[in-house]
Amino acid sequence: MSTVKSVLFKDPASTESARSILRVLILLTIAAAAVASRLFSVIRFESIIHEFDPWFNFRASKYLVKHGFFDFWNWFDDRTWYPLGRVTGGTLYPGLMVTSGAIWHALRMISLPVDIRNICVLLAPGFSGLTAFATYLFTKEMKDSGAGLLAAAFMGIAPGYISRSVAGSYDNEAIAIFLLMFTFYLWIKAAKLGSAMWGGLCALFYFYMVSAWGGYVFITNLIPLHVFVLILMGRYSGRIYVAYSSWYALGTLASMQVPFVGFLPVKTSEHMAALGIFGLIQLVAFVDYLRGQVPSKQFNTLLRALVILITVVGFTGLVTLTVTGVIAPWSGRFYSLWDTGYAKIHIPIIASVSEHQPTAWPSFFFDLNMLIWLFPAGVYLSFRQLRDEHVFIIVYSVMASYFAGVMVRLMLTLTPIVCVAAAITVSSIFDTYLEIDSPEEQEEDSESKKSKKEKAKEAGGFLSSKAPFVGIYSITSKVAVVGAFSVYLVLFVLHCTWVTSNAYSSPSVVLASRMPDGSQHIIDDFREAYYWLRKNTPYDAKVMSWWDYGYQIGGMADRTTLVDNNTWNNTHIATVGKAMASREEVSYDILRKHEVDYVLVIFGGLLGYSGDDINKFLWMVRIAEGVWPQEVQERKFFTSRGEYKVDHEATDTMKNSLMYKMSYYKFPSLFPPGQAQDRVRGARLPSEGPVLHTLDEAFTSENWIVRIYKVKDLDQFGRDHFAVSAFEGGKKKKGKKGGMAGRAAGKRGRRVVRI
Amino acid sequence: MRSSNSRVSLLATLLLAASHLGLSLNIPPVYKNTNLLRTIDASKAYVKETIAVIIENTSHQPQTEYYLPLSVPGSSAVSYVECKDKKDGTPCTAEAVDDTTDYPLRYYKITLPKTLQPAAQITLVVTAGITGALKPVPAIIAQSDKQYLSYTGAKFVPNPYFTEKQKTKFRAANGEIPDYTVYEHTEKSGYIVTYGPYDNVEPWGTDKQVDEFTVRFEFTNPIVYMEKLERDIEVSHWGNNLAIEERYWMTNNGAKLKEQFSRLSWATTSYYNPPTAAIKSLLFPLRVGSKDAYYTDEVGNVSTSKFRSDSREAILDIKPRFPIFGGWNYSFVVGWNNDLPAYLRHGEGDGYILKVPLLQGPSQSTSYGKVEVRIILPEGATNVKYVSPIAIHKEERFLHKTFMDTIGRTSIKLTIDNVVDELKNRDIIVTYNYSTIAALRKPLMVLASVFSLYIVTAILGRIDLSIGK
Repeated sequence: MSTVKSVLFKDPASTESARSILRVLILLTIAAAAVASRLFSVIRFESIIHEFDPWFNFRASKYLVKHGFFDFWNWFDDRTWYPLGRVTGGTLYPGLMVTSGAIWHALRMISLPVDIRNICVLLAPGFSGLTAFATYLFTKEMKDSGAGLLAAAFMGIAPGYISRSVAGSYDNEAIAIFLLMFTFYLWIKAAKLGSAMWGGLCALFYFYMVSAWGGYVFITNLIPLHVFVLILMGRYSGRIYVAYSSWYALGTLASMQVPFVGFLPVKTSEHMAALGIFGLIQLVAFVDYLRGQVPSKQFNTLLRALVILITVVGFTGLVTLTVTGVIAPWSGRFYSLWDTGYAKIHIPIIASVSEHQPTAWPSFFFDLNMLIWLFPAGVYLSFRQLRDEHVFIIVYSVMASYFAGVMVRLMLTLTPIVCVAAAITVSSIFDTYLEIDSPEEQEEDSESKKSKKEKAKEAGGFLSSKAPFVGIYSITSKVAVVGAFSVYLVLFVLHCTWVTSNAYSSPSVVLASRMPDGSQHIIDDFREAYYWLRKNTPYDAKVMSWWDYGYQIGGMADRTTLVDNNTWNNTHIATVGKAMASREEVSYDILRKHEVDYVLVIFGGLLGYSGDDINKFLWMVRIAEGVWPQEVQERKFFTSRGEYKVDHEATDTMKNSLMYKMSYYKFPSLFPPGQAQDRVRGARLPSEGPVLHTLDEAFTSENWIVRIYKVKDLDQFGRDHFAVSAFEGGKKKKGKKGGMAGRAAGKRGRRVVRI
Repeated sequence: MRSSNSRVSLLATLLLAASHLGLSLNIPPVYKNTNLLRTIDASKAYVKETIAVIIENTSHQPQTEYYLPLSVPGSSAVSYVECKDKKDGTPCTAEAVDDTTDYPLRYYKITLPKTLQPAAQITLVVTAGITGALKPVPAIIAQSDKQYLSYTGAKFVPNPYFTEKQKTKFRAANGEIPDYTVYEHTEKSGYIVTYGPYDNVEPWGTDKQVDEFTVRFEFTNPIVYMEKLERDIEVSHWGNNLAIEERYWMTNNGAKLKEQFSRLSWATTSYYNPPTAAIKSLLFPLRVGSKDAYYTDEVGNVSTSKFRSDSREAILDIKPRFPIFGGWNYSFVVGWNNDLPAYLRHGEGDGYILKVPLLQGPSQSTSYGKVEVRIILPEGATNVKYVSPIAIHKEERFLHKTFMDTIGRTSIKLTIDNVVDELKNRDIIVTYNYSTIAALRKPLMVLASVFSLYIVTAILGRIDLSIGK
């Protein structure tokens, strides 16, 4: 034991190469574990794109690969948002598609023609390995490589990050979290070294981040905040100046090259903090230069007063400019970060998205497990050392904790810093308790002190932050603490695997259930119906559905949609909402005016699939009401007791709405009379199903989840469809009485056709 | 059934064709058909016509060529023609006569297996597959209705020679035959409607009257039609594997749906499993030893397939995502692997002989609009020759570049139009040369690229980019 110890711990210099090889091996293992833990869905189902937004990204990637970069850049998509179309090339973050396109071309160049779908599916797991590496580098700057390895391991398997990066989850976040961590690492490096090169690299990756995800605003605000706090702490230095100026100048110019961002960095409030700090740091530098020329003891006080004054003036100026309209005010999504009730009142479309809801507290534990209680300890440890980079951890922790509490989605930005802080904690505990020898007075002087020094040097930290060595004497406490933490770590791994396997690995396009004999049964209704649309409708058919399914219809059915998950036009979405929520007479008019050929609804009543359109219906009503308050009223969809009912108690407005009719059309006939049951809402339905006059059922999937209706053409004789149904219905009744139903009807029909 | 109008027009066309024929194709009346039996088998989704005829040389010279027309009315077309001597099974060649004016008859020149001396007799059996001759009548039916097909043909067998005695047998798919044209000597028993025997029939075209018969019968199976099939046969010497992938573009050519699809009635009746004109599933009998079968389509894997492979059989049973009714389309991909040794022999020197089925496919009766078979041989294979069991319409040779290839794999693409599944499971024999150097190309290339990558990394690592120390 002692020889091992002497080899591994006593003389770090001579074992450096062995250590670095070990580190590389550990990092590779972590990357492999990170990738492997994200492959549940591929193994259980198949290599398939998940959820909703990834389907658009996938479609865009295919377009990029097929038509080339410049066509992609100028892509006007006339197959979405019919009849408006969408300037897709200018309204998306191209980073993700360009990344996978570049990988596709690179692999092709070394004659590995991998299908673009597989690249898209496996991009997120691949980048999660890189994220682990970036986290390692970042944490290494904070403490040492031991903490870095722990942080990388945590980051690799933390469910908070896995939730957005499993195989098939081909979304912007797939690469953005890597870019976030790497940009932060480069920033820390730049701030530490005061190097314009690192600052420039930081700007480069910031540009990549801007091109990849709207969440780049987090970096845009966090780095200035870090600098601002440092200045307030009186820690201004030339290093900070060089790092910030080079990052801001280069990064902002670069970010403006992304068409979707354009002039936003100088026009909107979200970016004003960075601009303000850029101005401020110039002033501070100037003042600092003056101080060098005119030394004075009162200068510090003066400086601070000046800084505060300018901040106040700058802020007032900003507010004035915003009020007068020169600078665009905060966008709705950002308002909802400050006022959680804002979206619900003013922009129902943002509130209707489940990932924009405030976070429930158990989800912190669910997504981060033990890291969440190690996190404060890590922040505390940062306070103890409080070098410039530790200030960054503290600032990041505070901001990210707030945002994660406001919006479920932003749990993603909290996860990296939690991993870093927790790794610092665990690493400190192990540093303290895993010392095999009990400290002795003499040893402390000579060897262990030397090793501390070496470690500090190795980490590139400052010797000033060296703490007096404190050791643990009792072997029992060592074993207890180390043992407990080892158990925690194992439990953490088990928890992460369990969460990933159970909560985050379902493609949601394909549903899995169990047969009575325990074998897996796959419910594939979505693809069944989308594929039917793709194969058996004209290529230019227009499909109307609620916006959730727009991307999937575009991706899988390859048909023109009216609205999709890129919710850029609220009125158009409200129009679809109105068509769904209105009576057939009103809806048919809207459908005709938009040249809709097919209407698609999701209905879970047969199977108990709760994410169906009837459950989303109130949002359609609300969004429509926001635009046409006179024509669609939410109140009318509730019973007199204020209940949302679909059974015989449902209000007339509800029963006559197109959505209700399409969902339950012919459904009760599937059951014995009076037994019709909606398994989602647990309601017994009236045995007489709704009657449709203006639509024909065109296709219903095996488990009735997707129902597609064909919009009837105008009647050949200029009657409205209600008159037609009444006429045909009436004829049938007469026929029954007369007894010669079929022939009479047939003859009459034929005669009319000849005229 | 048919209006008198269309019959007149058909008659006119036939006469026109006959008069043209006289100009372009001069058939000497050197034979007499002693006995002719035509069997029209419509039990599949296409027509299989078999003509058994005893011919006698009535001239004074020995003869070797016999002309036989097949009727291809409307949009129908001849897929294949095969011929043999009935007595000893010697095959004879049937060659389409290059004459486009003879519509609706297509003439074939048959080279007899042996020279026929004056007054000698020989019995020929000519088999032909004809697609597009069956029409759903009515063309539009309700979802649960029965499907009926209709066939129209000439009462007398078209033949340029005098026939002493002839008979036509029509075999329907089903005993349910609601309509058929009745002439003298017409008889229906069970599945079969017989026209004849008719004695002393004049050569075709000399008779002014062309009588047609029409049979309408129930057809409980879907009419599976593959607009296009792309079949890849990939040989890997290193992997010791024969990979087969087939991409199908399928249509149901049966009667179209009268109204839209109703899931309710489909679900409620499916418990009784009634016969339906919709394609519910396809069964692919594969060669024994096939493994790793998959079934996907443009939106990913389809989970409703079963694959069973044991020492006696290998069966891939696939169920499309939705039932395919008349006029509906569906496209899909199936593929599987085989161990190479069962299909590849080492010949002389570095020569290899590959023997694989040119066409496989579902067990349901199927016709194909266009079949493209790509045979992908290893990179560096040369001197590729093949012997095909079916007439190939177009051949292309190219290099197929895929995983880790430097020059691309030697490939041939064989295009065959209008195929029926009667022709499946026949082996194509491909011979090629493949040297050891060509076989070593791939591992050496990989080795070289990894090594050069290592060198480049090592050199880059030694470059010092710092500005001053």
